[in-house]
Amino acid sequence: MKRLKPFAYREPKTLREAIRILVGEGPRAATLAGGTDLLVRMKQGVVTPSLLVNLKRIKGLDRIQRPKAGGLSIGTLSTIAALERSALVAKRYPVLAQAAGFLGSPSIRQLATLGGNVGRSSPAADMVPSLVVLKASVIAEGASGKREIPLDTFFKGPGQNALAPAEIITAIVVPDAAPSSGAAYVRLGRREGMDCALVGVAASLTLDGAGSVAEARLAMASCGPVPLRARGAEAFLSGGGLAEERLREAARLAAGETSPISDMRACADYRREMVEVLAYRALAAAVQTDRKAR
Amino acid sequence: METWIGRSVPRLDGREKVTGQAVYTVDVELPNMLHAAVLRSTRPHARIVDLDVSGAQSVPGVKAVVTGRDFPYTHGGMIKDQPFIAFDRVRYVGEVVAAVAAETEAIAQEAAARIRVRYEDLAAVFDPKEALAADAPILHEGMADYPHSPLYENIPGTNVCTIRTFTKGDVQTGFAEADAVYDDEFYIHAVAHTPMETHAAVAQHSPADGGYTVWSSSDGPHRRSKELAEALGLPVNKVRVLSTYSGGGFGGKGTLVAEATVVALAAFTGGRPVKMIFSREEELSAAQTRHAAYLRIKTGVKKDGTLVARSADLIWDKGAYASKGPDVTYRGAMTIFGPYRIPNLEVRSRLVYTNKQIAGAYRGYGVTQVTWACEAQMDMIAQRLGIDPVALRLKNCYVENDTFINGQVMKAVGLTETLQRAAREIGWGTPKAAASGPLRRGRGIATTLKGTATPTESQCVIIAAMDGSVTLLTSAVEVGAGQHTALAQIAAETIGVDPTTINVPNSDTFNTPYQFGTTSSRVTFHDGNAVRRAGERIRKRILEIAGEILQTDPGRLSMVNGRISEEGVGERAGIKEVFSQKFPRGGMIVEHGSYCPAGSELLKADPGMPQGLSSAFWMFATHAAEVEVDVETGIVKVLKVAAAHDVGRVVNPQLCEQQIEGSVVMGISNTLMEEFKLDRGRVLNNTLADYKLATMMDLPEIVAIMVEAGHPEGPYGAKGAGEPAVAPTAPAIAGAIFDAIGVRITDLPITPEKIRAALKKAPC
Ligand SMILES: Cc1cc2nc3c(=O)[nH]c(=O)nc-3n(C[C@H](O)[C@H](O)[C@H](O)COP(=O)(O)OP(=O)(O)OC[C@H]3O[C@@H](n4cnc5c(N)ncnc54)[C@H](O)[C@@H]3O)c2cc1C
Repeated sequence: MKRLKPFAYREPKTLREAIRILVGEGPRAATLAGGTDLLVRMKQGVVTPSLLVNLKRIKGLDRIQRPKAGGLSIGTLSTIAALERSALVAKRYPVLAQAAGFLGSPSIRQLATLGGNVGRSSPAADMVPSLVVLKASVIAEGASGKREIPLDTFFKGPGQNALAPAEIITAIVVPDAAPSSGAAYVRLGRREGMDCALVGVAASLTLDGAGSVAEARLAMASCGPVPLRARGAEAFLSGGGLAEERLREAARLAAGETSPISDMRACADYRREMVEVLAYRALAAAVQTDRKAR
Repeated sequence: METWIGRSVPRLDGREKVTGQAVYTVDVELPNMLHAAVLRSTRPHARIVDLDVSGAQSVPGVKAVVTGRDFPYTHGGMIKDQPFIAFDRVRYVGEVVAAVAAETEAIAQEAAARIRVRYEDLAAVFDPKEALAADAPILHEGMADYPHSPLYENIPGTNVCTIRTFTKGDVQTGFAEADAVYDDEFYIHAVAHTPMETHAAVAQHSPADGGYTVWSSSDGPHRRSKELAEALGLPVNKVRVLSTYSGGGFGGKGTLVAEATVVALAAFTGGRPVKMIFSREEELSAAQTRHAAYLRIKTGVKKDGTLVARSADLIWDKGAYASKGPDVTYRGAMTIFGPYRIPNLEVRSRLVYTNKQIAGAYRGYGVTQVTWACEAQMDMIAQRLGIDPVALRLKNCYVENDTFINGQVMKAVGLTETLQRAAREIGWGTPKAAASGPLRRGRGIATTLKGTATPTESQCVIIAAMDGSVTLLTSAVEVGAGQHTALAQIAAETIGVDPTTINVPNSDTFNTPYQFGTTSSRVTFHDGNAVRRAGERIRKRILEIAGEILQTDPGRLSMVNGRISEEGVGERAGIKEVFSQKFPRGGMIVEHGSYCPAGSELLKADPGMPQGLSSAFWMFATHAAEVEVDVETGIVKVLKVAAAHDVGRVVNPQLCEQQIEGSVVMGISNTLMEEFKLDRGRVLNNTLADYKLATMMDLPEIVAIMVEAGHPEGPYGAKGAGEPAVAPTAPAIAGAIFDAIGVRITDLPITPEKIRAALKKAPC
């Protein structure tokens, strides 16, 4: 069996203490949440942190709640399984519950956290496209205080994000969805469970009073170095109707906006082709969820 | 009417396994045990110019660092071509270059990482066709000198590890008589066995007598003992192999793998035992694989579908060392004609070394590979001639008393029934669900035959202890399929006791008698026969003792479930009472049983034909599949598989059903998902995240159908079920895909990308 390289380990009880420890250790420290990603990469020797700061003893970071001002605040330690089961999520943001159901397997979802999925900043992260189309932001706290970073600007490259050293994600916040809107996430793997997305597409559509598209958002996993928006397709959809040909044309445009890579999981051409298939299916499903909601 | 045969007796090892008490090789803990780690080659083909182990030796807690210079032995059950540890040359990425034994596994790994190697790269070859080229780099220049059985002919100066041919009739005449001749090439890929328990072994050397004790979950303890003894120049009675439970093998644990490394290390630890457990990464890149193969077959056929001739040219991808390849590919080659009557036959089969992970035995032993080609081509012939695929098979397939290619008259041939019942269960010929959006439905069917290695021997000992309790000593390994339970049922039936009271300990080559191996679907038949013979003797002696104690003629006595009855009188006593009176001061009765079909009339072949091709029994299986293809994504979802298996006689229906279900799962997985991604021989996807196995979520409805063509020599008519189960799944799925979308994939695995590419060429 592969053995982990030695590392130090801390379990702070407060956020402030956690930040202090991270500052003290410097760049070789890593925050640990569910560990479903970090421990795997440590075993593979891809990362070799000198110190793990386990956040799970900090109270209150796993709450899913609706702040007075509206929207939803999801504590960083909320597990994917909790999102899948939450009545609040199911009612207001069913797309998040749907995306949660794709991630790994039941046992992985029981451990994996939303903060870990965002914090890892993998272009394949399954929760991110839906959060992006819902206009979510990251709440981060560090030595110099607290700030809000829109997810649209959070990701900087594979595994890279806008967090400053020793900054910790404390929550993901999502604004209220517009009244006449729907969203959906579809993704493709090589098998039905325990698989990383070959391509994932989330779509949200908001309609105006006349039934044409007031706003469209499309976000894609595994299509580039960061979770991508298909801005051209979004612009094309805005102001128009929901006819099938328009959705198909938007999907074609979305595929053209991607820059997938060829790797051992799939070749770039297949991925690009699948963006088109999935973008159409996501848009069509978003229309359906909107119809159901009304 | 039997009491215990045909009943789903709960597995004897069930309780032990679900409560975590069962000891697998990874669980073996011994006093003073050391832990091993190895340094593996990072080069596909290179000379070792310099090997500096001083860095490893200086790590505190390291007890031994061993290289091929220290332990200059080679092994190989068929061809002795493989060093325990590389000498001055590596032939694949992953080959062991040096091994370390230390107080902990972490120390051993740390030390192994400090060994420095300087390589001088040699030209490498990764494809067996390229390896056949005149100017290909040669892996084994010294091939001619390797000790090997005369059965395995090689071509020195090339990469041809073995070459075998077979002819019968005259294919040229056959092709001339045919209305159509089809020439097609198929490819089947390498896959991993992926047992839950990775390869593991523990070895201890006795400095006093020079012997070794090895703990292993290998499927053939006596053969491993023989291979080790031969490799090290020791008598067999100095090499003791103890079997643990096995966490799955599927053929991958049928040679010396982890065993070789721990044996080499144990020679240098002053008697301290050494344990090695493969990491999953090692399991997927440095254990063994299924042989990949290019299978070219040319078949001549009459307009009405009658097969008249077939020639085949098979090229198998050996990887770096022979392992069981010579026999796997021979058995495979001789099955390329399928379960069909074809008068004119010809095959050339070449096993070719390449600079890749070693290929070995894999469930089906070569038959899985050839079934892919044979059955895919049968479908293509049916389509070209406009004949129904089931009808084409029924027209040509073996029936009772047909002769195999060497002239052996085949008995217990339940093939037709497997075809009919699988077809009926899948709804063959009835309307399918209509296309819906991008989804298309299709059905496919494929069949296979598999023999068993013949002749091979199995022995056992049955003991009735002083209280009448029964122990069965067998070297058949409980590899997970329920071997021990099935043998206990046969013993129970024969003796007249309850199978759940029989003790079947794991084997020990110093204490349990010889048997060839838990391979080739042979245990129920061969060991079952040995058990039946020993059981009959034990029963006779028990009744004699009972006659003596009860003062009556033993001929009037019978026993069921340990209760002894007298004819015309009724129940007289229990075995326990009788034995406690017979053995007041202790004692036991011991009987030996053995079975080997050598010399059986049933094996007789035509004069001049290879007798070795006769099989003690023949197994037949048909799988029918229904799939749904998404034409936009290329994704195939298997909806249902009906799997009909002629197993002779079902000993334990539940275990048999599990064998069939398990192999359908394995078949779906390796047809649609599993694949090694290689870069110059290096496995890129050496984790279970990237080496895709089917999960529960991917599984269809599986209907296991058991056909019982009772075998005249089988114990209670039983044959076997382990291997053929996996072979027909791939061609059945491929046929169903063709039925759904008109696209024929001839190279495995069938990936969404291949389907999309094919659809673009020929839109449906
Ligand atoms: C078998 C398996 C299947 C998987 N399948 C999927 C899948 O289908 N889809 C998918 O998207 N992912 C998948 N994953 C990856 C992983 O499970 C998810 O990304 C998960 O959400 C990570 O959460 P975690 O809490 O386990 O993170 P951890 O492993 O604890 O951390 C991941 C990274 O995020 C950082 N981090 C964690 N919390 C914070 C924080 N509060 N602030 C700043 N940085 C933080 C860590 O330092 C680390 O770099 C799979 C993993 C496994 C092992």
